[in-house]
Amino acid sequence: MRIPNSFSRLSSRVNSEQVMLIAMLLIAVYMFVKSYSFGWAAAFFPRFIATVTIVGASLLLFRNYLPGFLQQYVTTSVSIVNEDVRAESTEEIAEEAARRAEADRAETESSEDLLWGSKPGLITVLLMAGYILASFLVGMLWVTPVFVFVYLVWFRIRLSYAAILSALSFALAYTFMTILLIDIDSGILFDGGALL
Amino acid sequence: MIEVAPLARAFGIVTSWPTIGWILFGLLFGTVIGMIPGLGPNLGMAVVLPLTIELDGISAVLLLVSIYSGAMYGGSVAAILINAPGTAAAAATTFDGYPMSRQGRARDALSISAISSAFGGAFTILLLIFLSPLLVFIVLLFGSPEYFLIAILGLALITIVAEGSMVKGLTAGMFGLLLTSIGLPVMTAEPRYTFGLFELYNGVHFVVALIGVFAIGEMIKLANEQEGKIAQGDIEVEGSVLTGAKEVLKNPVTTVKSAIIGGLIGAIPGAGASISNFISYGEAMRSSNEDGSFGNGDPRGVIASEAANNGTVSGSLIPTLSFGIPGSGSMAVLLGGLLMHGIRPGPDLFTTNLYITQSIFLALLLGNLVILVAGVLLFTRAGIITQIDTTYIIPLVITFAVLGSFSLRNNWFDVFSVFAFGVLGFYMSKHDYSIIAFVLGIVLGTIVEENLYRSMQLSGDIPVFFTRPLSMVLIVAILAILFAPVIKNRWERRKTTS
Repeated sequence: MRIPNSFSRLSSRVNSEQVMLIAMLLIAVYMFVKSYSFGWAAAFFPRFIATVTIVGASLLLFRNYLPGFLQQYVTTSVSIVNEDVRAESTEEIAEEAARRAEADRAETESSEDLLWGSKPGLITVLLMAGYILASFLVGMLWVTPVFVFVYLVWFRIRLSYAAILSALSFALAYTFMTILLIDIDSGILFDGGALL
Repeated sequence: MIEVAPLARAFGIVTSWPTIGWILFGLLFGTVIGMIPGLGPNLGMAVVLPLTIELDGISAVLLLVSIYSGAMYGGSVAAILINAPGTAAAAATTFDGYPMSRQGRARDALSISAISSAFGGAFTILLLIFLSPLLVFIVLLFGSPEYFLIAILGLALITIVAEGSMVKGLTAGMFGLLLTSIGLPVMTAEPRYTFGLFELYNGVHFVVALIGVFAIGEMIKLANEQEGKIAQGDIEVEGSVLTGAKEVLKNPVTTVKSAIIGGLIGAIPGAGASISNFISYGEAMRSSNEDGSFGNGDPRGVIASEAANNGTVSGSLIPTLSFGIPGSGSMAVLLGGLLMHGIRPGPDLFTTNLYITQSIFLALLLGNLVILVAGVLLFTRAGIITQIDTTYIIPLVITFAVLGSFSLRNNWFDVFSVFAFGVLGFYMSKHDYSIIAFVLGIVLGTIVEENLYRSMQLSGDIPVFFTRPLSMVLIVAILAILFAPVIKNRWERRKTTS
């Protein structure tokens, strides 16, 4: 049970921004170090840009531990068009419009929620990852209609509509294949060329 | 002095078939994309970009620019009818457009939107055509060191114009530039960061990054917002087109002023129509003598917002075509389209290839005429489009994006990259990192590296950047922007203490 506990403790401390910054930092550090194996002409640019990226990502990652003035520099939002120009004149109206939109939405919004409605974004990402992986394995032409159908059914779209859009997506993929001459009827596990 | 020969050649191109067909298709597609809340010009242009491979360069660019122009207008339809702007550029249109709808004047508002959009767009394009000789003069002053510096200045400027931390914006831009160093560099045949994989030799295709960030990233965001169901009940489009037209004619000053504001703001890198419509609306309010009418269905509110956002289209072409610094996300996609078809921004577009630039201007002019006619006659009856449930659209856009990315080079690395860029774009947007700076870094990477390399070769004992007056001016401007937060804080502190 120690591993799950440690994982949950870690995930409660690290947010998605920090993960993104760590990824940027690691990539930049790798590219900086690796640049020393290239000749000057090839190394100059990535080394210079990687250095700036490392500095920027580090400042953002460790901004809570920076001295006051530096922390302020890193976190301050500077905009030549923000509060002075935009908000003064239109803020009240914008707020009123937002209130009105909210009220209207409450009045008219459909009562049907999305299935397992809490994380549709995550589900979209997972379905998309599955789509790309399955396309790589058996061919994008065959997987595309399946992806569209599964996606729409998952989000409670009527089966008949899902079927129509799924057929449409197959037609779209087929058009891409024939007009742009791309090889999407086969994957590394399946050769679908013979079926057509 | 305007050169007539390139203008005549451009006219011939724009009015020839099938180019004119692509322009009309782009306008229609852009308008529909703009009408659907949650979509917008960035997505529409990014998804279509790989398909333009089969077209000639000019037709491709005119198609993209027409999508942009159409979407700018289309965004207002949803803003007026359902109070949900189709694009951020039409956000201020909701303030008076939607109240007009509720008062039974939706058709008035829609025709005001069409006429002021068309007028604002056409006016600024004509202005740009007359100003283009001046642009030629300025652009010709720039050499390799200045092009490198202006790219850095553009990145810095974007971070200061977009709200949020400047360090975040710069880091995003630099990370974008860094990714472009994968593959074979322009100046030497030494592969970089390829891990021995042949697929990586050509590096990260900027179109893949554009599709990933603008199409996939936006779809994840849209799914997350759970705003797929737009159902608002039946929309009744009442009122009169003629009354709307009269309102625009009654307010020529507001229309012209708003178009100019839009054009000027569009010319600032990073400041697109999402900013200009608010500023123009604010100015219309400020200069109005009647208190309380704005926000309650004042036609001038719709005029100000719509004339400005279409005016921004022409303005944003200035930095994009002259220096390769896009004024907005859509312009970044347009820049991608130009580069993909071998058209490089800079002096050539204002000298030997002036006809291409003039073709873009004329296509926009024609587009605004089409917006005027179609907007008044057709789209005042097209409210139903705003009710499309975006849940239907998400898987289709993803499909388009994945197929489009693969079709670029028949390369699976591009498909995996489009997914990665989509997720990265989503998180960047979520945590207020400038997407435009990131995209700009990726689109400009090769140009920046090439110009930096050339500048280093031109350098003697002193780096070339410090020996040319224009370079010095640009360096000072970059430093001023970088230290703007410190200066601002000091200034505010001094103001509080005094």
